[in-house]
Amino acid sequence: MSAALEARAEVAKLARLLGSAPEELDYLTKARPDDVRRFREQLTDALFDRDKARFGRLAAPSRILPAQLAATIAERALGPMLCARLSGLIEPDKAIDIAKRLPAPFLVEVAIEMDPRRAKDVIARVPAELVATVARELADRGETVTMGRFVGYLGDDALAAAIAGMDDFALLETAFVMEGKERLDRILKLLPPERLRAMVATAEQRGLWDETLDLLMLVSPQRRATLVQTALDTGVEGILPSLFAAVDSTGSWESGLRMLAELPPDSKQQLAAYASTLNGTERLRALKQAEALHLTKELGPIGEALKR
Amino acid sequence: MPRPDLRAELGADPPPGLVAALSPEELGELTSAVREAKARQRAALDRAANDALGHLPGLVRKAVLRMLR
Repeated sequence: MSAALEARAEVAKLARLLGSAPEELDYLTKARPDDVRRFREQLTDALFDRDKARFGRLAAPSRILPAQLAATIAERALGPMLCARLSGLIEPDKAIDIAKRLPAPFLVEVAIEMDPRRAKDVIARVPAELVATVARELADRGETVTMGRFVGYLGDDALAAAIAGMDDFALLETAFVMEGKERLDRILKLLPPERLRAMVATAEQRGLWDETLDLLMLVSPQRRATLVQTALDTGVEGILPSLFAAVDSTGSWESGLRMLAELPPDSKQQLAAYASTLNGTERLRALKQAEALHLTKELGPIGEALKR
Repeated sequence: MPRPDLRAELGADPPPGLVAALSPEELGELTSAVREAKARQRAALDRAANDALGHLPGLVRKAVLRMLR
């Protein structure tokens, strides 16, 4: 993954936790993404551990209360913020029993206030249909960072349901900021071809090429080839200039060009046809980078097209 | 050395790499942002707790207050 893209994603997540706009924390993009992530985890601990003992005592009665009564108290008296704190302190099966009796908008508010790491046993047990409902509502509210924090703790069925509940824009944005990006390959595998086509079309329409580049860099070569071929089959004419622009703005020429060089010959041939959509400056910049990295030959027809 | 006030706000030593990458002004900004986030959260939790207590009958309220102390 590109360090610049990773830094941007980390800063977006920290900004959400601090209640700041990401641009207010621009200065953090010069720090190593791993350090920003570690700092965010420390801050999460500072925000969530402070009152643990206090809330632990409040969670204790839930063991003996019937789930329906506990749900009524949760919704009418405790509210989403306290419920979020209690979610990791209640026995997981009981927590699910209570959650099933709560309205979706309330659960969405709870999800926004939760630290998923503290309630992973609960999250893993949430029924898929409830996950889909909450994911749809979070997507509607633009809460992609919140969704990204939960994705890593969902089982495959729940994950598939969450993806089905999100629109393509939310899916791309969530993939960009999600925790546990090693699952991205598996997530893409869950998507039917028509969803992949819609996602690629959305990337082009909404200008989400940095996010798409990040995705391409993180998945397996096989999945990457499928995605690129999907874009080509969908007739995304801007794919080559858009990817080059994303690679240039994030300083990821080496990984970006290497990624193109590893594509199957047919895809490279088709991509080369789009080199004509690059202007002279763009083509020259790409060619110079390819030559400096000794990748012109590996790029095959793309490298040849850049020379023309 | 991390700024003592950032360490105090965080309750731990911030990653040395992060501290080394930022200027003193930027560290000051980050410390303020952390302090504000903690204060905002504390206020929201207190508000939520008070709202919750307001829904409870007097006797139960006393018992819950004892739990929360």
